[in-house]
Amino acid sequence: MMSVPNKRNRLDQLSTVLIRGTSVLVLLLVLGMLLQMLGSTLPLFDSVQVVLAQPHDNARGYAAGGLAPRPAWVPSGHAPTAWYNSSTQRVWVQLEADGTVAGERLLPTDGPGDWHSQPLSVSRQAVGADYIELVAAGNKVLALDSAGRYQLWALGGVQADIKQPPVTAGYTEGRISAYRAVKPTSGKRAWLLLLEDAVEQIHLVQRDDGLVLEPLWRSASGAALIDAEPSLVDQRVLLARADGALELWSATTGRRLARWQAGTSVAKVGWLSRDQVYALSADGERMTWTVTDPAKGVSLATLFTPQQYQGYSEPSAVWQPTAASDGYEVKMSVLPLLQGTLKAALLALLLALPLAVGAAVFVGFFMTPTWRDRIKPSIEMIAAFPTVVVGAVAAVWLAPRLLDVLMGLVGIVLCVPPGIALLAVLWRRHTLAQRTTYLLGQLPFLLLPPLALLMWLGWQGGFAVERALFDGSIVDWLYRHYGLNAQHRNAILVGVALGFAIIPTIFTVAEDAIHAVPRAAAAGSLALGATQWQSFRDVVLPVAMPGILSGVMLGFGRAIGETMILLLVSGNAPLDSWNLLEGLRSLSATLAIELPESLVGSPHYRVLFLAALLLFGLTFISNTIAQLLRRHLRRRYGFDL
Amino acid sequence: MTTLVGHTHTLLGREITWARLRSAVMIWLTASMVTLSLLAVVGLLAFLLWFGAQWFLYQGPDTAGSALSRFATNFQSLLYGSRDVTGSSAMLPAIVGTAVMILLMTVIVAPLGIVVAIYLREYARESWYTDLVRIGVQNLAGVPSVIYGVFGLGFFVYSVGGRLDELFFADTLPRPTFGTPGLLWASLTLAILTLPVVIVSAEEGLARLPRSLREGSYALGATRAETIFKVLLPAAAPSVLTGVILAIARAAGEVAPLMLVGVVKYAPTLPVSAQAPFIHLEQKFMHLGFLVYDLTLHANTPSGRLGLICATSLVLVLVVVLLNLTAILLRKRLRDRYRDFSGV
Repeated sequence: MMSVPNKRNRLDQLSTVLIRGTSVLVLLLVLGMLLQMLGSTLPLFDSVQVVLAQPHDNARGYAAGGLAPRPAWVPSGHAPTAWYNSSTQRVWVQLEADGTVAGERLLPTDGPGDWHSQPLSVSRQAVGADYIELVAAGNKVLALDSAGRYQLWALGGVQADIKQPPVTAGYTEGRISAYRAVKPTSGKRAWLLLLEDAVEQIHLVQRDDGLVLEPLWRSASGAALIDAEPSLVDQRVLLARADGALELWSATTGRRLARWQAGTSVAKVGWLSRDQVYALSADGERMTWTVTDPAKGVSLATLFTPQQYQGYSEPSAVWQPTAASDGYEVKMSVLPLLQGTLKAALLALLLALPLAVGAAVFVGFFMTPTWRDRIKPSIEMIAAFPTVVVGAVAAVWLAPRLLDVLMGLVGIVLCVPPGIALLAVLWRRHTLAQRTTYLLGQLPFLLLPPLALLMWLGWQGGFAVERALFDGSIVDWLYRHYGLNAQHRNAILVGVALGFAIIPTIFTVAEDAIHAVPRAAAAGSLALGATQWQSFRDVVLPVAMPGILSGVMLGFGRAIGETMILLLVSGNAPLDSWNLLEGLRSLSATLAIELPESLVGSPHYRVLFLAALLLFGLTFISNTIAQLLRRHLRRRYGFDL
Repeated sequence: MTTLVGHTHTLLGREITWARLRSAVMIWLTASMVTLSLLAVVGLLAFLLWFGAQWFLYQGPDTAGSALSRFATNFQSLLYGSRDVTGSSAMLPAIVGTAVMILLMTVIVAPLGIVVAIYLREYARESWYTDLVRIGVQNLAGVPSVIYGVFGLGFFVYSVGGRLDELFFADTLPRPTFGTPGLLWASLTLAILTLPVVIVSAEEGLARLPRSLREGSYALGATRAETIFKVLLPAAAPSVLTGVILAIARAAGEVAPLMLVGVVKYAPTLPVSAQAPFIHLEQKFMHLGFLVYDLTLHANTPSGRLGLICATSLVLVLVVVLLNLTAILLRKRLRDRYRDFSGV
């Protein structure tokens, strides 16, 4: 082309630049999509950064030790004394010299600031305790001795007795270090014990024989412990050691998040906010650090392995990302979500696969071309139903009925295939002598009456079996005999709705693959005396198989990523169970529900982006497999889908 | 089992008899799968029509008269909200919201998709790079729609929108203007979601054009841009249009990504108005698909509101089906036209 700088050539050059530039920008934007999700997720795995914010701020003269002064209503005896003060009750307890406990509960009367007393009776059982602490809003006493034994006592409601025997007792391997030996943590039923060179968190667990105090986690030992303070809004604990080191621990994983040097000897540590901690030195100086910790205790371990959470009797995989109240232990394990996603997708595939592939085989190979042109778009019409409509019908109409008609549906599923096979055999036997050619176009319509009959038979048969074997209700029977729960929004319902939605995806691709195989190959096989099915199975199927598998993978990918159906019919309960009669919560529905509500930059927000990446990864894998299968088909047999 | 086929064993050997029986069984079984699939489609459509029609023809205290007048009254109450349709579930604002959002999306996705298709087909040299881009684009079509919503929220709303607010709306800043889900971000998100549909369709259309068309144009002295915009694109127009319509059909049925980037249950004002700038890009809007979702979510009795849900769904399905049918017809047109070309 000549490069004469006239208007036309300049326009041509301009459009070249524009088209190239725009395309590259669009493609970069799409690539940026992945990077953006990665960028939002990755800070979860950053190490914790601690930066000194305010060194040596001693203008206010902080009192070292920082203990709250004893209120006037607590008698000044010898230590140790513990008290609890709220608007509904005031409680103090004191260890007597002989090791017994004395105390008093004050309850408000009508007048403001007017309290009346309920003395606590002395308990001989607590002998041997060296330290006591009031826990659980002043309703329980945790008593410890320096050898590490601990006992939890309940205070009675009306008589204000210390109830005997203790609720539970336990033992920690390590000597209790300090006067303030027990600290409340953000969990309502867990406490931090300060040992000589470590901390240990104990929690109340419901066991067969009642509530039991059990160790939850324990920090590594090191230099002597000076002070420790749990954060009251999440599950992190700050420690100060005698060598001037400060440590940040995660109570969920029991792992150290950070360790740094204060520079001077520290007497007390504490939290100013989620992201700021302070330490008081022995001479009253305050140092403040900013802690940059985007994960706040979330790690690969908490995301992908069961964790021992406060109050749980065993390590569990739980998804409870938002707290009902401050200090509630946030549990973000993506395992239940992955499980729910796979449960739904596999079940949908199980239901859709025979329908879609069977229909694809008939339409693509057996059906006459005229009828194929009519039937194919009709089945593909399913794709035109927005999934929210499918979900809505399933949720409003099918969900309340499904459990009642479950056996009828099972009957249909069990009855139709053998029934049709039997009919085919009878028909074939009848027509063999006459050698009638098949009406391959109309066969699906001719099958309508026998199918209706078989479905009716299966339906009635299913209910008959239910009445005879399962006392009239399979759901009740399963619950009585196997303890299986059933919910209206259950996995089977999801499977039905989702399976319906992915039929066209599998059908279209599989049918194209079968139809694309040259007819000459099958015709030759037929001419050599093979039956229709033999021609299909031995000549067409091997060639079309990658295409069919590709359709199946695409359908699986769609089932994994589908959102609206899951939102409406799955019940959205993140259960750790494979029970098909219970609900589930999928990754996709979780994203749609929780992402708009989550705080930008919070661990929850980042974990949700991680969930999005997981979802992307799962569908990417199944789509790529589908693509590779198609490429294989194209390379090997030279035809395109 | 010679007994099964009776006296025919003289005609066919036993092995072949079995094979023929099996053939018959498999044909019948696969045929019954076709029947069942068709039943499922027809069943769902009939379900919507039946309960939707019941709702539309409902005869209440204030709706009486002929079927047509009842339909008119009920349709009106569906649009503006009365009967069991309360203010927030009136359909008109949802229809307007959906239409405006899709219009905006089309304006964005059509040129971008066509430009990328032209680039891939007419400018980029065939190499591993274009292969990779094609695979990427096809793979994008299979990415779950909710992922686009996540991306839209993280990138468009929080990153781009937040930056826009800092630059242009700093005076109102604690209250976000563009840094919050809205019409523009929803349209952009759906544009990216439907981009592969347009690209694949337009590229296919361009690829189908015979070489002679290009060569003829160049021979007459046209520049590349002139060839593309005056010869190739008009010739490929039906295919490009098919892609755009399919994109619209796909977008009309999507709800999940929109829940993240701008759809709300109730928006006090429409996103279009007579006041400048006429289209309010930063506003949240209502959406037909989300209306179905919301009605379903709040259907408190087991089958309560079934009629209303079906009536609303029916409108949505009709829109999507009509769009799809248009695309199918266009594609058929294109094939006929292509046949003419192949004769050149």
